Amino acid sequence: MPSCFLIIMVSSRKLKSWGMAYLLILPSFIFLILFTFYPIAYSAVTSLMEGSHGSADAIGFGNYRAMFSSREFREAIANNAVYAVCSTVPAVLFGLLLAIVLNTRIRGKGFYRFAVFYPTILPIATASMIWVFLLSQSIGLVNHILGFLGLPSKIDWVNTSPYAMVSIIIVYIWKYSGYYMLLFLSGLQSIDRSLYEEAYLEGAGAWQRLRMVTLPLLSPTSFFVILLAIVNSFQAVDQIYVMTKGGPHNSTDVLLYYIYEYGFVYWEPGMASSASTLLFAFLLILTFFYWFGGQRMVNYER
Amino acid sequence: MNDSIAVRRPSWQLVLTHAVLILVSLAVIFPLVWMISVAFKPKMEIFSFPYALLPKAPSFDNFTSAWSYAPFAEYYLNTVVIVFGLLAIQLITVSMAAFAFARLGFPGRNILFLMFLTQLMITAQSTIYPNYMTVSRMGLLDTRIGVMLPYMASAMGVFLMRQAFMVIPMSLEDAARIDGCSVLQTIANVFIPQVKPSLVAFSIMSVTSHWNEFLWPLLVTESTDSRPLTVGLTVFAQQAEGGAEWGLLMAATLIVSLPLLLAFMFFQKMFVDSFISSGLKG
Repeated sequence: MPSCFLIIMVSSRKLKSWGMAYLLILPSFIFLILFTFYPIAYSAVTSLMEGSHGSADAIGFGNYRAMFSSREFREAIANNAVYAVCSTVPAVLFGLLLAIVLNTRIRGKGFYRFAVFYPTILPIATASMIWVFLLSQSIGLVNHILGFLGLPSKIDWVNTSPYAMVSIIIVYIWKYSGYYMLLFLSGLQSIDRSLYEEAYLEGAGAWQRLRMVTLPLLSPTSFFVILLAIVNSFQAVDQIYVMTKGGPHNSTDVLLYYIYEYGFVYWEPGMASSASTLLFAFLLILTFFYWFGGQRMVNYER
Repeated sequence: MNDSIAVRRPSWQLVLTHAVLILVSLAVIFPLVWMISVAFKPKMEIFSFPYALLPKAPSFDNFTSAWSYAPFAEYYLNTVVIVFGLLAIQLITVSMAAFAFARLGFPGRNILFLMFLTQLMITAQSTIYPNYMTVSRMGLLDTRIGVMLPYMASAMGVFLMRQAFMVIPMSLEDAARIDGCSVLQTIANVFIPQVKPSLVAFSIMSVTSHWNEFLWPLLVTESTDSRPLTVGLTVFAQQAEGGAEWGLLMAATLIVSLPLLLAFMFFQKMFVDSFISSGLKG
């Protein structure tokens, strides 16, 4: 009998602690449901239920059919792929290279780090304004420098294709390379120094040490940075709004900008919702990839 | 070892490395220098070729006229209220949830934690359309609260604080309980003071990202009652565009970015630590 009594006591105490835990999580949870999970459900449902401007056949998968068969949407997807690859690859590589160089005992480290990192704390919207000025056709400094170097210097950067895409990619690389450098730097600093000594004593040259020690041990960081960079390339559209408005001729229209246009310029809930659903599906896949891929990389925990 | 290798490097290699680094740094820092320089240039100088790096007769005219053309004081107030109001709310929601995840066992903990993880990838930036509908139905369009709402729970903050809470010794928690502290008192009086570095890291991250937020406030705000600086600047730019008032625009741009730039210059190490810790765990 006493032991039975004890069990009841314990479990009521446990229940109390569970209840406390749920109460503590509740405020965050409400906002999480309301602004992260409800939007996913809302978009999925709306994309299937809402006809676009009076066309009844949009019910069901009609919106998706209309979307995939529209040229604008296919262009947005293609543009986003170009934007993702051409911004992620150079930004991550720059970040990695800078981190490797700045991880040595080089002089002026502080200045270099400041110079490369500061764009991270500037608003992209604001920074884009500076770039529009720098890239302006007639008075922009970029064209002047190109002219000075004897290169084509009458480029109308933000208003002609493919230069408009190049412009928004430049802003991405400028804005994010320093951030990725910082993440790589902290990854590099967690590598055990004795491994380099060992490799050095075994006669490994600088290139071999990089390939055999640095890069493999940095792979968890690299995995994370690459994933982050891809996610950013699907969400960094502020400079598109400020610099190109998706133009010229949709050449800088990407998925999120497409959602913005259909949701807030054309007011087509069905189309905006189906595009949103697609974006969520893509981001959820990346989330799972991050979760399971990241867990397999054991030396990631620091 | 890495270090001694660098020292033994042949000097031409070192010179080359520095040359490349200087070139890259200059290229990255140039837009900032140019913005500041043009902001102080009188109109005549901006368009006179060849361009000078520094203004010959620096003046504050661009700043005074930008300030008088657009209600930047109101925009400033909105940004400050939104950013710090949000931070205050986040610190409460985040430390409560982080405490539960770090110190309490309960059914469904892993699932709930996974749900929080999702928010790291599906950011409020990608949910603009459905969230606009929600805020609109709540009747909170064009209010500061409406701008803040989607960010009131922060998964990144929960991760950061949970990590910090986990390493606090059990004895401290026990002592608080014996002293008769409630759970909320324990969090506020015992746990929070122990994790100041994480608190600072999270605050910097939160303030920076919301100061810089653009697309969401652009959509939900309509007037100077709620419009933050970034949006106000863009509206101002669209009005000024016809005249190509670059001096004004650059001055306005500097007005918007100066507080964070100054904070970053003075507290560089804190910013760097903040971006590293929040980056790596989410």
